[in-house]
Amino acid sequence: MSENIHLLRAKKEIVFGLKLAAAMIAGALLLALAHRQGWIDQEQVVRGHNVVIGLALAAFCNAMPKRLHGSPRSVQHATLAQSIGRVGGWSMTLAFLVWSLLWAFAPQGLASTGSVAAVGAGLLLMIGYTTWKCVACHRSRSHGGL
Amino acid sequence: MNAVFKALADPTRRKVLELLRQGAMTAGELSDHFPVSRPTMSAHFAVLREADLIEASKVGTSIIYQLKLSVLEDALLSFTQLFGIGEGGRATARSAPKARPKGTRKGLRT
Repeated sequence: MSENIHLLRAKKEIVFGLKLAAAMIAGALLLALAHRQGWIDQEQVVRGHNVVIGLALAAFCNAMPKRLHGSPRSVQHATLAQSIGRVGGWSMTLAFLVWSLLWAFAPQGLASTGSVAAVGAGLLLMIGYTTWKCVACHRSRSHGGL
Repeated sequence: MNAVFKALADPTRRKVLELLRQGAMTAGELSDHFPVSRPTMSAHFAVLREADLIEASKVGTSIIYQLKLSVLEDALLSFTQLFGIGEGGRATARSAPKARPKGTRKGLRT
């Protein structure tokens, strides 16, 4: 029964990933076509690509807290997984939304550096929080064991 | 998405989600925060599970509930709590925000 649920979930996630990939490819093809027809210039193609990539990755990270669920061993373990998933999901979703907004509205120089900085900050926040929580959890468990 | 809105429409279920935000809890711990019977709480948990907003895992003899909100659903929950949407709709709705664990209520009576 639980194997079936896991299979269904995996299938759902693969379909979701494929849909996002298809949307990104379709966006890129449409932008290339528009450029070939002379409707938009090269800068707009680059901006459009980055906006599509940012939105697709924000949509992917939106579901991150839902995906980070295994079989918890205890309440503490479940709380740890939940908080890491939430902070990771929020930081990466907001980072990719900032990426898209910068590529849509900021000057190109600022957009190229700012977008990478935003995603880098999101990643750092997620990794830092995960490390901090895991170390704190390990410490409290070892103190509890003493 | 309908299931999500249905789940978030009830203040008791929103309170459950609010409690789970603080950390995972067992079914018993969660039920102790509400002045309603265990079967009623089980029904609320079922609606939340159906909407894919919480996850139930069996560990030993207890069931651990944990949040399973996407970022958008989390923001939606914060939004409904911030503006108090749907507050005071039902009897349980009015009592839920002021709900105390059963142990505390018993303690007050004695």
